[in-house]
Amino acid sequence: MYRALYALLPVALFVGTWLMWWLWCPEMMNYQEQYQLFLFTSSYFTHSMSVPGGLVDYLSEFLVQFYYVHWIGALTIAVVITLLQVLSGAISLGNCHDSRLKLTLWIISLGVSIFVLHFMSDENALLSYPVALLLTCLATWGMQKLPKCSALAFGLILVFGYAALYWCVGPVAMLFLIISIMQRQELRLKLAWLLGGVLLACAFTKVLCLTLFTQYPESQLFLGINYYRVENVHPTVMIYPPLAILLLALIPLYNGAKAYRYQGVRTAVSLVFLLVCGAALIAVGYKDEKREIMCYDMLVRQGRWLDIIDIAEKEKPTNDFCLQAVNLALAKTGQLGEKMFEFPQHGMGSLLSKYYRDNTSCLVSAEVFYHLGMVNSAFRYNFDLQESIMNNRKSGRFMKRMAECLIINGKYKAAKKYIDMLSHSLYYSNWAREVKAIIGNEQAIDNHSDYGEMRRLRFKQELLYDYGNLDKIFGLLALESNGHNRLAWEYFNAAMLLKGDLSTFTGMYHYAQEMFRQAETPLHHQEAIAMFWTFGHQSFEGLPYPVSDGVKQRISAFAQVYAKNPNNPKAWMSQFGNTYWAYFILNRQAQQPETLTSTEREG
Amino acid sequence: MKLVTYILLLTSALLITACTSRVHEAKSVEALPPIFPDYVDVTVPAEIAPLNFAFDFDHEHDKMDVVIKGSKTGELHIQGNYANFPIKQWHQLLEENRGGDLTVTVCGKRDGKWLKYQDFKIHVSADPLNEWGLTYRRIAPGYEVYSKMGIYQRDLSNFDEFAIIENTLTQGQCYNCHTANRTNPDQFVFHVRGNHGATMIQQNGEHEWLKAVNDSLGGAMVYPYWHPSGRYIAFSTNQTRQGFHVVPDERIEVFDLSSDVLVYDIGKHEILLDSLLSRKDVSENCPVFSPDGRTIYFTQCTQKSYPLEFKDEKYNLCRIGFDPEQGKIVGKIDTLFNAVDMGKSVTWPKPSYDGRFLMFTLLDYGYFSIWHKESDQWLLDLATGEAHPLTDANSDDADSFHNWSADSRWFVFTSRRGDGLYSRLYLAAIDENGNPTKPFLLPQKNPLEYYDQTLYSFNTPDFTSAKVDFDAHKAATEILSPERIPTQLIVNN
Repeated sequence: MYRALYALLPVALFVGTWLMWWLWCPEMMNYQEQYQLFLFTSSYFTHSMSVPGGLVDYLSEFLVQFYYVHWIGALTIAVVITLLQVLSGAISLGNCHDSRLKLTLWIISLGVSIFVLHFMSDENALLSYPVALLLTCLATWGMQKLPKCSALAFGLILVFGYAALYWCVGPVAMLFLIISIMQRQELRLKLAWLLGGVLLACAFTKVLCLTLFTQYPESQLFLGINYYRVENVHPTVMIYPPLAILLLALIPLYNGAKAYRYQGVRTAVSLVFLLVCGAALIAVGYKDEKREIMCYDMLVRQGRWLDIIDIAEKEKPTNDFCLQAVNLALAKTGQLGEKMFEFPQHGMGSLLSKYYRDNTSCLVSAEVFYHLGMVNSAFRYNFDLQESIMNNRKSGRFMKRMAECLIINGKYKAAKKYIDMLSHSLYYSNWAREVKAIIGNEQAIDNHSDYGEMRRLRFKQELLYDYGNLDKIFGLLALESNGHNRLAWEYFNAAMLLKGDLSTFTGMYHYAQEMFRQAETPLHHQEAIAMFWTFGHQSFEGLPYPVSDGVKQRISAFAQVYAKNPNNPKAWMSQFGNTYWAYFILNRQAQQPETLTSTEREG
Repeated sequence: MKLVTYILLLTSALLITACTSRVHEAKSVEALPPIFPDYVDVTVPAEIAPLNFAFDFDHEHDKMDVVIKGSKTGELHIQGNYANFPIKQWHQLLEENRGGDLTVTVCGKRDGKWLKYQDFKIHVSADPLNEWGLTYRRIAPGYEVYSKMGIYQRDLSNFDEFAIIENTLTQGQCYNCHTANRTNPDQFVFHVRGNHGATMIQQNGEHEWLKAVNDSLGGAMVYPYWHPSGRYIAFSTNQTRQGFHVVPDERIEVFDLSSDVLVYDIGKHEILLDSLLSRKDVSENCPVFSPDGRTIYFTQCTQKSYPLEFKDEKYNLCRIGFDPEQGKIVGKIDTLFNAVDMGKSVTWPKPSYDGRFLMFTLLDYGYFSIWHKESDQWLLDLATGEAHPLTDANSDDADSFHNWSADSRWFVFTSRRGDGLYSRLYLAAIDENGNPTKPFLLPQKNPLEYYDQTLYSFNTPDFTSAKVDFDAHKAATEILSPERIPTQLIVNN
């Protein structure tokens, strides 16, 4: 039974990790995949290899591209995590000469994988780090298998091995150096070797700083250029996996006699302890509000509008990022005027985000622009999103969208540049081939289901984008399309409602009837019209708009409850919280967002 | 073993011979070769790096064969996937044919058959390029953010590029406006934006980090230009904003809510602001000194309400006197080129260092010409006052920011003629009458792959007479430190 654990443990780890990432964390893979673009070109390889840790960057980016298909992406993570456990366990077992301790060490090696899984719950954690640990373990295990040799030969292998490994995996290679020295039984004066080795490694890094890498801070060469997406940031959790590997390798070299007894108990206790602690650690790490944002972003990217609404109805989103996704989903399914106030709207930010200089905040807004036909703005947001990727990588998702915008705008030469790049990727190459066939062919693009449609929807009249006048921009876009851009019309109405501009909203109603051939007036539009009517009239007699009797009765009921409790929203929110009236009352002061931003220019 | 070695050597020799054998039977094509970059009929200095080229993507061939014959002497023959000339032989050929022509014969192999295109010429200028190379900034042509960027220098005799400073050193900051004094790297200035902002002046290896913003001035000092004495730098200070177009053919609009021209006295750390160049109803911009240091050329525009009237932002080219001994603005403003009357706008005036010409960019409105497709290079004859477009150098896309070589025989500028989005560097010769030659794209070892795959724009190029000596690590430490030299504002009414 004990023997079976040697095989069962990695198998269970593999299956568990695979299922966890596939079924529980697809949005995290989507998030990671969109911040890199792996290309099968020689220049991509040479560029990756030009910095310490370049090989693991290259390998990890190769693996991360598979995140595009979630079950395959999860599989790659499971392979890395499992191999890490197997190799760290193997190093430990290689140093252990008592068979009774081996199983315990094997179980403890699970901890390495658990720490790495915990690290990977961070949205900026890059797979480079686990892969670097994996290759370091592989090299260390290889050193363990090295036959006995002279101190000189060992020293030379160590020095050159470390230098090569440092170039391939980065500063994690230090682990290789330490363990290799400590596990060498025949080596005398181990501490002197250790000190000398570490000093030599530091000197090597310092020389690199002063010669080849004058454009990188020293800290990055000592702590890793690309283990973590944010430059010069190295979270504490990164220390746990190498520490665990180190301890695992060293424990059997210095174990005491007490540990030899009670194998069954020891095995059970360590297994239970690791499982409980590991589950807790993973649960804590992965229970993050950011995953909600990642989830909505993934669904928007995939155009799963009904799923978005479904999720939002189960748990109402509270932040603007998610609300933008929900509002887009409602608009795409023709329900924005019908349902938007069932969700807690916060003003214009719930429709579209102003520009934030990070790689996440504007993800949904970029898509909203595209679907609206605001092609230039979609290009702008996607371009800057790509430029905001903190480790200076490019993005298949953003680049594809940028190429689409350029195609729609007839900028074929620039589009071709992006398409050429994407044709060297794995998951964007089919699309690249398809569009390459039609690029430059105006008729084909005009007839294209997406790009042709966007050409008809986009702006024709010259103006500068102004976030402070989004409602007018939506209105112009809708009217310019002569009834074709229904989404812009929905956004225009929503923007007016969110701003509380009921006068314009009601005034524009007849345009809707004529231009957009609106068969039925959506519920929230009826609510807004009814409310606006009550501002100047005692009854609904003579109301020239189609407001249902139900809405009329409801607003009367609302007026009565509100009149009794004007300063106590709780009294009417439970009954009328999903109406426009509740939003209007709670957001009387219309938000006035910032307009043009100060510049960062290209000279 | 020996036998194997001989066989291998023999096979290799045969393969090499086969690879470089002449094309004997080729079908003639009545067209110039479809190559990238377009080096047909360009004029180059003998010192330039090999003009490697390839068949463009729309005309891919299996192999290329190129023979270059000098009009005086010499010949170069290469064969491969693209024309990759050996540097040493290339320079020897150009040196031997200085003032002459190179005739280029290009054959392409497609479907096993050779096609011979019409020959074309590359002219080797008699004028030497008395510069080591170029400096420029590489940055993505973005809107409000940028990832990796930096200031670089490039040896023009080969393909070596060196980073002067990259923002990997200082947490993603932006560097701009790198400017040397008359291409001499012993004196240069650049600006650092953001939290650790500063204006850096390097003179003979020593750095000075000025406060990015003088509180009295209320803005940063940008668009620098050195006084020939090295004692002053002319700057403008601009309250810049940008707007974003929504229609397909436009992208970004840059306008200044206000801008003034000033002169910075390096030795005294004083900013000299004259009331003539800091009017509230007028925007003064892009100052440059004349080669004798006694005139400041700049652009001037009636201040409008932006963004509403962004299309009315139109600049004239003006000049005013400068007394370097006193460090004072003298005389009155004189309009040198009235672009407003033409319904146009002037930007980036740069006098040739021999004082003969002044090159500027003309566009429909505004001054940020890189985003204006219609922007073209113009040349003003300072002796006659006549200006004309540099038609042979201009293109249908944005031709913009330029600089002269120290001997005023060459100029470098940016252009978006390649793909309309990413600006690249072009060089051209100019004769004593102000006639430019056809510009050529900055050579790269594998230009097709390089320019197709790069996601950077090249901008603010300038010649440099020697390699810039700059300790980036030291500079990064200084950038991240809070130590800055304050500047004092001296206002002359």
